[in-house]
Amino acid sequence: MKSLLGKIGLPQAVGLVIDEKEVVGSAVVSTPLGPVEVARSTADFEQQPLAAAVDRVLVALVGKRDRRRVPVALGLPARNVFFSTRPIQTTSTDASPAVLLREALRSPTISIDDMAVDVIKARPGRRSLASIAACPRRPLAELLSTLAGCGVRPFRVEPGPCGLLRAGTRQRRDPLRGRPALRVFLGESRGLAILTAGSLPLVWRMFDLPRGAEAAAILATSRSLQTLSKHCGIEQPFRSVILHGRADLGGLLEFDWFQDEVGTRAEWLAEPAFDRANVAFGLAIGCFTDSPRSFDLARSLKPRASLRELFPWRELVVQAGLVACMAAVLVQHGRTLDASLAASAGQNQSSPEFAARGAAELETEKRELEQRVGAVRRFLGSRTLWTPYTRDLPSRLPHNVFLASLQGTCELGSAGKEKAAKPKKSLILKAAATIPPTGSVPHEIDRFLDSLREHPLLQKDFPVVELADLKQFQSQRGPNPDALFTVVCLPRPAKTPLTNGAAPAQETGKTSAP
Amino acid sequence: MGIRVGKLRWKQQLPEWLYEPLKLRALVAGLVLLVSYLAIYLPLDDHITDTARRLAQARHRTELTRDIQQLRGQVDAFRDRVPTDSDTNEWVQYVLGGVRSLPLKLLALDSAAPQAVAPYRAVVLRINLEGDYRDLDAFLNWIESNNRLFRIDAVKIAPARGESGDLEMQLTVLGMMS
Repeated sequence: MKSLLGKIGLPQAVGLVIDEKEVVGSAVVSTPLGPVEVARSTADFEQQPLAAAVDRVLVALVGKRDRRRVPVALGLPARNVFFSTRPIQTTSTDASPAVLLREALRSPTISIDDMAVDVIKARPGRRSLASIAACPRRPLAELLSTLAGCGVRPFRVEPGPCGLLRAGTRQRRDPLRGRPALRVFLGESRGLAILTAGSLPLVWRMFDLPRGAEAAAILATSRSLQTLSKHCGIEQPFRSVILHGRADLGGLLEFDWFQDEVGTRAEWLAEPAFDRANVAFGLAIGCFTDSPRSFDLARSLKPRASLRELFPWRELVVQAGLVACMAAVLVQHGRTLDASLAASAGQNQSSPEFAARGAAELETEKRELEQRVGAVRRFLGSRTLWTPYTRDLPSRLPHNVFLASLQGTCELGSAGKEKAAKPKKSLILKAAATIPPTGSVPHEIDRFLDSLREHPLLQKDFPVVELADLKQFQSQRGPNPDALFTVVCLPRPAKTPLTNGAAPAQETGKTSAP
Repeated sequence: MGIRVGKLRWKQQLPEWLYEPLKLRALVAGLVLLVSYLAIYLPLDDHITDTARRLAQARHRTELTRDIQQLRGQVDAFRDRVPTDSDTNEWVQYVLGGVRSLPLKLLALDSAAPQAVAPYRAVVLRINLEGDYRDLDAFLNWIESNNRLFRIDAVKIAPARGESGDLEMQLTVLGMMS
């Protein structure tokens, strides 16, 4: 998996730590899930020249390809680097690194011009601080010359503890967001304690880890750094302690006692331990970010990179790709529209009659045709066919009931006049039924009304069937009088919203008992 | 003078400015954005907007043509049923022909002013007939199933006056004409 990651073209970087005796390297690729170490290599230069050892490590890490394409970060051992943090006086805010170093060293015997210096200015609290890293210029220049002979131009040269701090920060981000915290990296026999403000180291100290007295050593170093922090311009005590590495000490140390003694919360992480490989790993992952909070001791020694080298070719390719995708989408959309337009225009040209006429003329014709169709639809659609009634109603008359008259109305309304009077529509039936000798109202009337209410045609056109009046009169058909009654059939009333307090309109029928 | 000094300073600072990676990246991104907007987006967007507008017009015209063809078909379906060179007298004669075809007694036939059924007109005829129920029903059927477009706005069937035992039917008939 690691070799595959190294070969698929992901951005790669190398971290190199050059100690007194050996060269340790780590190759890292940047993946969407974060940096992944793909190779480690170590070579000593006691039996061989430094250049050969570096070359051997680089071959093991990146092969024999063009090494200038792979950024290489170089880490210097902590003992070879002068490092200090001090508050910046208001008068020296814009002072050069050399001036700040001179003020920090306060030694007339040291020639500042022989030192390679880099400064990081930060304001983690109320005071502005300057972290100063320096090393002798000549040995560094020789080292860079050796690396140049190996085909490497270092991306950055920084103190080794900075790489280890970066590796530790990747394991566990700064829990206090820039306020002072202590990170302690534990190795086999030595440890490194770094007082930090976020990702910025303020002061560090290496210490021995005597077997059986590890907790006391860590505690003593932390108290020492606590004291030194005041000279660095940090007035508040650190609020967090993170221990990295030597998980095997977890059972030996009395952690609760340690926390009580430190006086703040502590956390123990298994990685990274204090060793050169982890330093190299931290240096390598620093190549993927151009953080202003990173030292570069070779800043003044490196030739200025050309614009061609600085030019963000990768970003340009990505942006050009995005623009090309956008252009492709737009072009495709345009082509789709062109094809649709051609098809639609072809369809319009297929009829010569319509092709020769303007849109306004077609609109006029459509409007006229719609009026004609609408008029006929209204004329026929709103009419009532009376023949089915005249043929069907007599057959529904019960025995002893006679239809006296039929009156149907279905007026044609006016088109487009919303407020015009509603056209009349009704069916009025007058019928007579012989009253039995007992004088009671004939039951045939009820049966006739029921049959009308169930009549499918009436349910469609005149669903409201009401008995309007009932009169008794002496007929000439027999000795018994007849009951003359009127049935009014109406269409379903239109739903009108009720006004407040108004009762729905009721149709009242006029009846008179025989 | 101040502007000239500013220009000189800008010219001196630009190369230094380009050596700052973040500013160089911002400049490159801005240039890419500007070039892509001016050289790609604007011309393509103009073309797409213009084509979309013309396509909408063409589709509207297609829809218009289809609607007109459908409406013409509907008008053709009733064109023969709406007489063109007609007036009230011609309608009266036509209805009299229908009355004559049945053994009915015409009591009255008069006409009112034509009713507007834009863009057509409807002739209004009031007819009083006397006859037995079957013949009156047959006349109603003749009107309602006629090739011409009729509608009966009012119908009343009641016993006729006198001792004949016939029925009297009063009709208000509308006939559509152009």
